Amino acid sequence: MKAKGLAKLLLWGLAILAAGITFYRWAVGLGAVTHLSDTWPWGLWIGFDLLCGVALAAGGFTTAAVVYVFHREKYHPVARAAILTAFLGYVLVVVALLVDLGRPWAIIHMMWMWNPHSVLFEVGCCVLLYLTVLALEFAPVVLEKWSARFGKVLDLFEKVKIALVIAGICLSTLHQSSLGSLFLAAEHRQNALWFTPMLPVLFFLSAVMVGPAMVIVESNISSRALGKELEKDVLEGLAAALPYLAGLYILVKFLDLGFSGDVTLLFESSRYATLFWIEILLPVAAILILMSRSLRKNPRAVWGGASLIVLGVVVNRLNVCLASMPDIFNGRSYFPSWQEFAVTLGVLSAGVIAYGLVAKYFKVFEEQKT
Amino acid sequence: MKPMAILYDFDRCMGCRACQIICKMWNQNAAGKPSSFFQGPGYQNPGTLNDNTFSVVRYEEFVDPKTGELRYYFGRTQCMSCLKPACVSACIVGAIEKLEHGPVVWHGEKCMGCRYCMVACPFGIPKFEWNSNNPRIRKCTFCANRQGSTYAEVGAKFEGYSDEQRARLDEDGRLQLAPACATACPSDTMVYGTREAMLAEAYARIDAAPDAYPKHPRTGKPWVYGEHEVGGTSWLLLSTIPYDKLGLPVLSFEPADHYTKISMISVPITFTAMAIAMGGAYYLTKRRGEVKASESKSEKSEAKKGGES
Repeated sequence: MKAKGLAKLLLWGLAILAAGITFYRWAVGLGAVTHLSDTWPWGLWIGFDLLCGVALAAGGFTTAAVVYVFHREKYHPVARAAILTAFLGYVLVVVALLVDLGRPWAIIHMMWMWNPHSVLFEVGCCVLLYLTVLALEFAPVVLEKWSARFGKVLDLFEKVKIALVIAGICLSTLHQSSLGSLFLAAEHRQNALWFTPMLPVLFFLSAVMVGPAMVIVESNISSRALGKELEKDVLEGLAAALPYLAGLYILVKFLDLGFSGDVTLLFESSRYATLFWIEILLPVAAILILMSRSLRKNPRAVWGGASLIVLGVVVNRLNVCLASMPDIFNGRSYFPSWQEFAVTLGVLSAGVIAYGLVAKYFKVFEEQKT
Repeated sequence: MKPMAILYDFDRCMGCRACQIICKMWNQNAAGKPSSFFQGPGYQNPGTLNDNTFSVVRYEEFVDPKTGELRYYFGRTQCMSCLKPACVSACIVGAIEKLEHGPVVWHGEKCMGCRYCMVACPFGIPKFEWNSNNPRIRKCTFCANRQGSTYAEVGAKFEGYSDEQRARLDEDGRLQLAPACATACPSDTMVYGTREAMLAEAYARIDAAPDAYPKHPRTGKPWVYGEHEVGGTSWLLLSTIPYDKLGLPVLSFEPADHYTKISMISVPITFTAMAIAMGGAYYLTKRRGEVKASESKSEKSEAKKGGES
């Protein structure tokens, strides 16, 4: 109990510190609190908060697809939690954007100043629409608390549920992949190990891979923190799919490198090759662990394997956004300032706090049916 | 107005930096204070472009690939005013605009400060006001307010210019002044004119000494930097030194947005395909579940497995 109180204090402390830094940053500009520069217009907040935030929210659409589209009722118990994580994840992405944008109040310009040629415009639209869809998907969980009053509304939600779920999957497909397309514009900067016209496909495949992994990781954390029982065979089932999803992702990645001929770069001794191997070997290790049927029976092994996948995707996103960009224009390097780390951690903490609060007051976890 | 261009000849530049000074003056950018003489590649002040410096004359040393000798060059960095600018296609709110006759201009009231233009620019030109709470994207505009603008658009900046300069209007009553830098150059390093005429001039110079000029590494043809790079630029650079020695990237001839364009076109296709696939999967698996359920009604022992498949 004492450890829990301490954790709570830490989370609140980090969130409040981040809020403080954010207000200071709004007052004085980005230069004073970040190590961003003209050579490094995007840093940790885009690389981690935005790219990883969206990728790690992929559990929402993958789980919704499995449960509601493919009718795999077995996975129903984790659906609500996955959708909640996705919703909170996207809210946090928007919060992080408000910290990062130079003129955050102008974010609403996106709604009526359209540039249909801009990948970022598509990302923005999808995030906005998907956030709405997620809110609608999660709304019944909130409304059912007062089911006497909202009975009719709940019936309506039940009727349109499948339409919402499919819309959510389509929107996720688009913007998970278009976050990769964003970097198609960096063709002239990005290292050849990462730059490929296949970036959108790779981003989508890795999102599909990290979705179930994230559900496993998050179930483990919430079972520990909220003292609920782990849905062992649900997670085991998800873990069984991971080697295939990761295998497909890695296969496409290597085929692409092979066809472009850049595969030789992997065997040069460079910072880039090292980073690439790290990003690849993490999911490979996960495959090796989760291929074994007996290991999948062990919740710890499942949690370890899923964590490796999550880590692999995080490293990939940071590589694509930051590490793969050479300092070609003025030779300045970039490492995030402590304030950037603090805001990232604070935003994350706010998400954990919000998750805990929602789980406390609403029925996020359903009892297992069998 | 026809597409305009500046022909910049590296071999004529003597590094006087008059263009850099007049650029600051016309754009009313304050002087900067260098923190150190060594501010990145080259020896110049300021070291690079920044939010207050739209053009810089670089001074760099390099090893001549032909003779192996150490040589130096002066070269200018500013917005290349691409014909198909990456920044314009990247901007989420359409705050950057390409004008018909060349300039690429930024509309501050639209900008949300996402800095995607800075990521997308193949030349690394757009700069950001890092120390402002209402930051602007700042860069050379090819002196958009000297070419093709009306008096009203130029406003107060026009005061102090001679009647002769005021008189240089085209048939639509628009100003037709060369960008400030081109007017200041004492050595004719920069020549301003229609893009067509400037290309012709560049090739005339190459034809006069064909062996002196570098060939493009891919096409093997005479190389005027900016003629085809990323779909062409409004700055045409000419040099007897290979361009990659001059701090210029060897770029594709495709416009910078050629990949993102494909990805944007595939958006509606992906959406529709995914919607159909998911809708189909929904009905198929639902139907399968129903069939199984009706089958298992007769065989009660199978009932529990039905939900799992």
